[in-house]
Amino acid sequence: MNQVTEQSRDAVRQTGEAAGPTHLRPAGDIFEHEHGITIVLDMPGVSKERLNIHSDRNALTVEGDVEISMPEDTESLHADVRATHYRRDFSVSGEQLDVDAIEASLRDGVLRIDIPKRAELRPRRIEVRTG
Amino acid sequence: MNGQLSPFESLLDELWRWDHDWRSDFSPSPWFSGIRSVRQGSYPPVNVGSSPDSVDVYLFAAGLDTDSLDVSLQHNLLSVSGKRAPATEEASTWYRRERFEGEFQRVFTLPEDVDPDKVDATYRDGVLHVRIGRREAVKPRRIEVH
Repeated sequence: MNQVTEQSRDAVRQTGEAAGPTHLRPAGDIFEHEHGITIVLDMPGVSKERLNIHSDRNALTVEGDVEISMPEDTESLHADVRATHYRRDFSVSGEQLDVDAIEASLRDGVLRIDIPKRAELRPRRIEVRTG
Repeated sequence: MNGQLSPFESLLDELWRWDHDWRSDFSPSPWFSGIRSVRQGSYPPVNVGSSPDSVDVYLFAAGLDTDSLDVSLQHNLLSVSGKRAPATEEASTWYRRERFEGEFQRVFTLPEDVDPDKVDATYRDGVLHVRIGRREAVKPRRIEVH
């Protein structure tokens, strides 16, 4: 188990630049568990139709566009959120993680991406037989 | 190449945040300059728009349990509070933990002509939209001079 944890320490790394005025960098949690690595990103305002996740063997990119309905003639009084495009890039170790088996779900603006560990790296319970 | 998250990345983050805070300190929104004004970076981020018929407040708060939400309007003071639960209990190792957890509250002073009887709140795709109607404008009255 220890070895897997150590190896997986680099399994998902973040790449790309920090957030700038042109796009929003979604706040994220990244954690490892028995079966793999999970990334949770806050992307409020993004619907499933406006979400894009690209992955290849070594990279994972998440992008989404905010859509909110506003009445016409709206004048902004205050804006903490000044961009409508989210983007965050990650590098993924294809040797340790099974990128073909990535699963993602979006609910109430929270995106959860599960990347399973390759089968040979998952902890295996070894039965001890007596007798 | 090895190691965890690039130290440069977090440094850039820090610089960006610093720059952002610095700028917002020097260009405060006149509308939020009262004693209830809050620093940028408070959770959740909020946009407020004004139109002739309504004031629209958008809170960017993904993953809320709507049962925990409390939206109230007293005169022209809008208060929104809620709670966000941690995403998981299953983690064995954390690499990043940036998402907000716990309780939050934000209070806004709205324009004087909002009508507390015309409030509508909807939660969709992680955005809480509170629309507050404005009172009918007082129509100019012609005063006859006899």
